[in-house]
Amino acid sequence: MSVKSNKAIFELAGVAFDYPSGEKALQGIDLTIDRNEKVVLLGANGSGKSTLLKILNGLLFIKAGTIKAFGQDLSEKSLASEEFSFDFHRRVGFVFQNSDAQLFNSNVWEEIAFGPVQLGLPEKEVRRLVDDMIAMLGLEHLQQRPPFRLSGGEKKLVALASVLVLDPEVLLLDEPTNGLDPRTQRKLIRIIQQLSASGKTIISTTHNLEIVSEIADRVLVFSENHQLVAEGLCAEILSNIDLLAQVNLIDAEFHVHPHATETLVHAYGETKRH
Amino acid sequence: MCETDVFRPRGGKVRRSFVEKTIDGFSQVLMNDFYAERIAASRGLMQGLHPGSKVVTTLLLILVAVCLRSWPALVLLNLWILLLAYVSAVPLLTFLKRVWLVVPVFTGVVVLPTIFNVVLPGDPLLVLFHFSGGGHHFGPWMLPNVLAITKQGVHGAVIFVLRVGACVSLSVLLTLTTRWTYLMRGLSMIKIPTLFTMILEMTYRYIYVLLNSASEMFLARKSRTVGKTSTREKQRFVGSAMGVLWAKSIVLSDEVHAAMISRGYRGTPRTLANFKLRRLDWFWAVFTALAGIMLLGGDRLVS
Repeated sequence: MSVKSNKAIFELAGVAFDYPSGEKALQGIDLTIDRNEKVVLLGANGSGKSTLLKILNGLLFIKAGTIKAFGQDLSEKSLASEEFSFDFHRRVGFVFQNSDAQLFNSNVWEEIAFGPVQLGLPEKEVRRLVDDMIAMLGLEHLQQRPPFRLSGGEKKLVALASVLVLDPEVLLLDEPTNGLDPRTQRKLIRIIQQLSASGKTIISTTHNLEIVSEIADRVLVFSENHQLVAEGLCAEILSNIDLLAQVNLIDAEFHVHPHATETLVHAYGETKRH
Repeated sequence: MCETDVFRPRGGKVRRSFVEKTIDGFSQVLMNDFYAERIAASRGLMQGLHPGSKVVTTLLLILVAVCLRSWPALVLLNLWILLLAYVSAVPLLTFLKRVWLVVPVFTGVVVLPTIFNVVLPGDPLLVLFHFSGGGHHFGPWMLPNVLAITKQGVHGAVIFVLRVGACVSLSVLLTLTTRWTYLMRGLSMIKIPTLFTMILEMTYRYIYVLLNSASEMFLARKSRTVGKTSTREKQRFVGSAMGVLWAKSIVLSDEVHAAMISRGYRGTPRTLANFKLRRLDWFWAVFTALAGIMLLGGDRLVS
């Protein structure tokens, strides 16, 4: 797969997806995600944002519409090609919401090595990549530990390492901070920001409004009818109380700090204003 | 209902509910694993060996145990295994309990009838009972004059128990001194298909995830249970817990498969051959082979 000069990484037009039961998961999705963008898919539970991430990773295939990745059709047929599949999975990494599903090897070292080994990289290269990744995320003390003996935060970091080891251009993160303690959540947000600064495209899903402005420049809002109902910069979307209430992201009791005229996001001494 | 009626029904002794016992069972599995992991991580002879070399030599010794026919040779082999356990930092008492409390019970039940002359004729060692007017025929079967334990029966039973004991000891020693991951690598080295070892690895991995789910379900049940529940109600809960766990495992397996595909898995698992045989491994393999041959030779001389 050749790198196009086109900035767009994903181009979706009229995308629809139904669950096997016939229930609608996504309807009429039109969107484009460009290289080095930091995007959040924002929506209530069951709005279809996680399904969209799986579609972007080639794990689910659309029922209607078209989807292009790096300028080429993303379909079951194109992914059946060894060359396309190798290139696509090397360039697009996916961190699942449920870390237990992602950590299926016997220990952390093997978990991180799984991707490079499956892509057929030489053993020496695999060892170098894995050891570098372990050092980068400070996982040395965990490398021989089985996944079931890791804490929730450690699992998330190992899952991230297992994806980052392939140095993907695009990182898909499904509810990355769910269930993490504040310190681990902060660490993860910093890593995401560093990855974005290094030129990676970051696409995350969340329904946690507090972290949106930290992990995104652009926000795509999904309704409970499984449609993309708004998109814009963080400040525009997060200040649109009616929209957030309509898509069930805030309730009637939602309020902002009475002493502030702007939304405040506090994080270890940092305060961002929108 | 008075609280003591529920929890201390007899002589002040706490009677635990099936939910509590099941939760304890889950904890016990995790405890056993921690224990085994600790032994596998300690410094000892077996831990220092290449897993492939360990798997091959263990299989070889099991083969030797199966072929031995005399009790002195089998006793010698069992003592050697105990010595191996000792120099591999395996607590001997626990090891003996795991093997020699279980083996005699189960194999004993199997071989017990064969020590009597009514099942297997032989020279009486201990006469237990005289039948009046023996020699009766029951179809093709003839009732002897006496009920006795026979020399041949006891000899056969002792050999059988010692043989099973040696095989179980070797398997326990291998699994206690080898981490599961390494054991799987060892199996791959003897050409067990990668798909098979991968399924074993994942089974081991997800047992704990599902065990946690089951444990949470039982804890949730415990937190909502007041007083006694009927057996029928307990059965209903266990049945429904099994169903829920099954459904969870299906969802989880779909997610795991998706996670594998996402990282480049295409249906044929690939692994790193990341172990190299060292001089110690070769020395151990040759030593075990020679010891096995000597045991078999000695066995033939004795029997």
